[in-house]
Amino acid sequence: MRNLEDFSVPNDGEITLCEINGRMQCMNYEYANVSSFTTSVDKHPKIHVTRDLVHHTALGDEIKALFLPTDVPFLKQLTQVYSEQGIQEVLRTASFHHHFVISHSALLVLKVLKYVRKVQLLLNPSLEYNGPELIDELCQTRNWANNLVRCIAWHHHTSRLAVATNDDSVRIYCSDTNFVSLLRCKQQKNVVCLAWRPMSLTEIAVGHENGIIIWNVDFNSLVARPSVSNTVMLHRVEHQLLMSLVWSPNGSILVSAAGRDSNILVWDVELNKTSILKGSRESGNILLKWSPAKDKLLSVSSGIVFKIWDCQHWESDRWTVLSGRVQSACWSSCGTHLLFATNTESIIYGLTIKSDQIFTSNSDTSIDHAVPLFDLTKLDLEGIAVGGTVQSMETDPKGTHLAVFFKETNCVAIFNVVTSPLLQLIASSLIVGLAAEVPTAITFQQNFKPGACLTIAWSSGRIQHFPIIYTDLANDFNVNHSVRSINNSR
Amino acid sequence: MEVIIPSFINAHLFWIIEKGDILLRSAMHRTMSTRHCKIVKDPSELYENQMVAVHIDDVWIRALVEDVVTTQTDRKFLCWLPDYGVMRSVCSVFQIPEALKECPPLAKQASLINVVNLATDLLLGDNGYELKLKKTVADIEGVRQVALDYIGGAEKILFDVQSEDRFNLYGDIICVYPENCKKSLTEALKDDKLLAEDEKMFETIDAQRRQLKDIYFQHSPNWQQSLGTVEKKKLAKIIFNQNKTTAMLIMQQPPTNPNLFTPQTFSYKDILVRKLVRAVACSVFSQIAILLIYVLVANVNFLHPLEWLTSILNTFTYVSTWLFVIIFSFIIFAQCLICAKDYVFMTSYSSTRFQQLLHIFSLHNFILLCLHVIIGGAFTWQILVVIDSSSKSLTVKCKIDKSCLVEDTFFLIVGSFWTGLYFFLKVYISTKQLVFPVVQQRKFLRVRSNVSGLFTESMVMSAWPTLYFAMFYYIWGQSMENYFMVVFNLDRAPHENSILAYVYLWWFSTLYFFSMNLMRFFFSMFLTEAIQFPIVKDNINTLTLQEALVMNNLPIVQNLACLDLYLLSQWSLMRRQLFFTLSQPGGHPHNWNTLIESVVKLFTEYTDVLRKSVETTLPSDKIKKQPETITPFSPITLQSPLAQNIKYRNLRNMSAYNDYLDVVNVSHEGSISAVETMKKNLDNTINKLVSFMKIFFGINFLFGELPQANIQKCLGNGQLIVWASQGISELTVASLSEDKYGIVQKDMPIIITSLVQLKQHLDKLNKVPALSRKVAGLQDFNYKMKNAVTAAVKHSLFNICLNFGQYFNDLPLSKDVVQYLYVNVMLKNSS
Repeated sequence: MRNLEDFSVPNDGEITLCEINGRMQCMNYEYANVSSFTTSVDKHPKIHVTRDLVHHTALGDEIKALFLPTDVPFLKQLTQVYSEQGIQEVLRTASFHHHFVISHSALLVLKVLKYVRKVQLLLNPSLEYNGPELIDELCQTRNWANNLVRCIAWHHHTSRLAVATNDDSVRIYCSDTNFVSLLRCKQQKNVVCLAWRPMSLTEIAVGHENGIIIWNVDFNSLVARPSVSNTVMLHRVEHQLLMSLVWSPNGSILVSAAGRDSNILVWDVELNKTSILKGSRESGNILLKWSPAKDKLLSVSSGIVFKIWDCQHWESDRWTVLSGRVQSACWSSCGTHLLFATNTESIIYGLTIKSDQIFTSNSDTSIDHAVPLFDLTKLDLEGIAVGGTVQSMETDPKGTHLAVFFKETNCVAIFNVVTSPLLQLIASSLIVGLAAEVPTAITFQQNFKPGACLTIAWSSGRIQHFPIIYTDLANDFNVNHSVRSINNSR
Repeated sequence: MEVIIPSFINAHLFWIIEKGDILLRSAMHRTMSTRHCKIVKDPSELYENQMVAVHIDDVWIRALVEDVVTTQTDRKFLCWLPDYGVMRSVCSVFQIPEALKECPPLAKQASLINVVNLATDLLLGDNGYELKLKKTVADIEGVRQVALDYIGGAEKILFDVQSEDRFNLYGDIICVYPENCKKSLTEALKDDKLLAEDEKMFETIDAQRRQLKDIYFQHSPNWQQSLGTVEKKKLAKIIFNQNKTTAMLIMQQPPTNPNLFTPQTFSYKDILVRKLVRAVACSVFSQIAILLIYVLVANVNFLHPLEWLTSILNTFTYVSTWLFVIIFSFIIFAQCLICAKDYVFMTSYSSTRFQQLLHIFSLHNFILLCLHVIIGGAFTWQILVVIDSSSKSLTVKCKIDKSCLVEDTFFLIVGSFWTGLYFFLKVYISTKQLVFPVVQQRKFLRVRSNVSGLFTESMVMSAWPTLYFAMFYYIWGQSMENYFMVVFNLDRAPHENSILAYVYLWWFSTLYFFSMNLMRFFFSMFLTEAIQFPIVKDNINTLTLQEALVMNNLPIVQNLACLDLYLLSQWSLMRRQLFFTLSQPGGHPHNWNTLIESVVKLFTEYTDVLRKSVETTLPSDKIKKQPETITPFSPITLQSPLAQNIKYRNLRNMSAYNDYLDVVNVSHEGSISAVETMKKNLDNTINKLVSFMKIFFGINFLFGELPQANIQKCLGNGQLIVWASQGISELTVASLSEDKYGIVQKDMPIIITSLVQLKQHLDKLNKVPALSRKVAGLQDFNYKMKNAVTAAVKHSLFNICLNFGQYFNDLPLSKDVVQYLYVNVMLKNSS
């Protein structure tokens, strides 16, 4: 099995900017400029999400500290507490009341509620964590709770990038204008995932804690903040903590997985109706990936099980990992291979999926276990720590590159994926950010002609476009040959 | 390619099997041997060229039944083995797994190219006789023998394909002998003066090439061929290349059975009857199952499992139990039958309030109401009786000669009558529409994932009628009870009214709601299950997909057809191929033409209804006069607009200029006399008076046309358009890579134009006040359906535009359409 020693590391003080014809290009970070190598990402939106760009909704305690406490009648106080903090806090306030009957009855109700909660926990252990904690643990984004950028997603057909930030808003950056649309509404809290609708230019699904909001953004209008009337809101009571969303390739149905619901829901978005894909009772679902061959869907549960659904009849193949759960997974381009990593081992596994329906009964013709492909054990390469357990992985639309970043170390590793004759991963380049920058989320651009373009959101709020260029594909985007030759001679 | 030749009849007819395909063949053997293949008992089930499985020499083999020979003692099936290229007769045939049917035959018919046989002809001339060689296409035994000798001696046989058509390969056989000595069979036979080259004569065989096989095997008695070399080698691992199988599937042009799957008759009656019978059966059985489970649970006794068991057994040994079950099943059965009509036939939209009233107070509804109420009561009674026949009966003997009324039971039974009534009024009447599931799951999975949801839903829903009834009973219960006692001459039993009665009532209503919901669920599940329509019309009894698409009078069949179109456009390469093939003989794309005709008809009809309804609903000043009609073609092509002569649209319109020959009507207005003015005024006044009267007496209210009725009707059929538009756009896009003959191309303008027109009219719906967001709630069906149809049409157009992007300028589209597409679909795509 190959390991991380295959990677070459950029020189000290340099950051990785792009990869041209399989060769990693680095520059000193002080005058780093990707356009000196290639012009292909010149038109891409330049994004830097800063702390002051993010408007936090007022945090209760800080606001409270600004005001002096006053004496208000008890009933008024209760109504105030109720409107701000809900019924439980009302009971707690009431329990401090000097009147014996009121305080005791409030305490009694609180006690009953406590026991109800205990029973609930017994039935569904995932309720133990509150929403954000559970998301933070299960989600593909590193340090989801505290990072500025929570999720990024490229449009399928145009160069539009949606960025979800931790103030519960989604910003859409376009390549052709500097105009940024801001999607935000009261219901949209704790955004975990974004999914642009295929076969449409304007629709994007935002998965938040309690449901899905589908925004229809009119990019021709100059309204910076589309109103709620442009949305379709979808939610089901038992479908809490949306973790992953995926559209069918023709954009007609949306599939959603939720951290607290064992069932996966298939939505007809416009008619607001669902079909249920039944899951095992005890675990939620954390990840969905549609195969590029359009006929399979991967769903990963928060337990040891992951399933591969056949999208025609919606029957599933059930797979299990030995320990932990699948942390991240992605498909190869033809949809016959699946790459995944668990949250306990630092190994990328490969799995060959039987795609030939006629011969499914032939048990001896298919390998029914995953093959370890790449050892990601933590290493120290010339002073840079690399490897460890995987946080998230993505393949580009052509299926030739795999980008991986880790839970503990600060690099993004790019592999070449070879599918024939045998599934193999070959170390390609290592992306290192500025000092103290940690990758938060990654995604590949969907319509990048000259090769592949990886977009990385760093913890500093900087969003980097990392083009992987093949000059024979990139006729229009002339690679700067002079720089390359200088680099080579050096 | 390296091949084996299982049968060599003559130079124009032999079969080849690619060496590489042998792996596939053995994989098929194993697939068949691992699956349980059912034997075909009745040969009348078979139709010609049906794919079956046969068991020869301990191997499972696919076979096509050519003929059935029945003698007094036994029956023989003549089978063509498409993977071996030989004919065999067998005693029994078996059903083949569905998946294997689609795999193309591995043995391909082939012919040496451009050669004819040479026959020795005796010519009598003046100087005696002379021998001459004459070219002929007739079969000559000698050719076969010599060729077999050549082939038999070869180490390896290669086939060099020079051309191919739909069922035949043309080329040359190259025999490779030891020490890599190669020899072309054509050359060898030519050298032997057995063959000669003659392209023209060779072409004369083409007409009968299809029948060659049949001709030969009919006339030659010794067709009982051996299988040849059955590979005994145990293959440890076969890796199938997905791409290669796809390629093979594409290569096979005429599938063995043109419709790939269907029996000989396929009419809407068959479909509906099959679906309804299953639905009714499931409903009745589910009722019994609920009862059974209830008995199991109600008697639960974990400490004494034996007692539990005996009590259950006891329950089921009572005659009364069975009597009730049977009667109850009958009622349910009757109800199912009557409901079935509601589901299958068109939901009529009444355009006036009067019609609506008539619809509500119809005999049909009255019968259903009675049935619902009866079932409500019977359900509870049955449960009461089944669980425990003594304590829960309606009356008890309290005195020697008089029975007394038990109030709890009375309360429960009257309550459940009410529940039945409530269910009918609240649920059944209001929601009759069949809801298709988002994805087509297997039935078992659907039941599994929906049952728990249905139960909780029933629990919540049944809380309301229980509450209403409790309130009602609290106020009027006493008097009702008294009345009942007087009528039946009963006494009051010792009072033991408990709070538990309310819980019981809720529980029974929940069960009732659940069973009714389950019944509705079964109906919708079976009726909405996707079916595959045949595409090629084999005989008159076949209802093809194209016909079903425009079957307005049976919306369920129409819906299923649209769904099938959508599904096949996504999933079935083979069935898509049927649209992209040309007819034989003739070379016409009949399948596609009928399809596109139906689909365009569907779209235009829908557009028409939309236009009419929007026009009537909107105040006239709101409709802007804008160029509405868009011709599908640009003027250069000189084709007339589509709606007028859709039938002949493939013909050149010789009279396209008649648009310019409009006769202008010129009329003179004479002077108007005073009398006429007065008459006109009088008419106006009378008209006004009449309309006032109409409003005043509520005639307009009752008989006036409801403004939204048409739109509602339109949107009620929205799902059709959603599927049809997506299906046709997927098919169009698929044609880019799968349509060899460019069949779809000629109809692209029509498809795009009708979709654009539809979209334009859908856009107008936004102006209808009742469908704008402010008025319509989120739960409003019409509002949601409007969005769904709009989105589907938009996505379909986008799909076509995206995939045909670079060829778009080559399509003869009219300016307006292109303009519209640029503005509404593609412009935003410019980046």
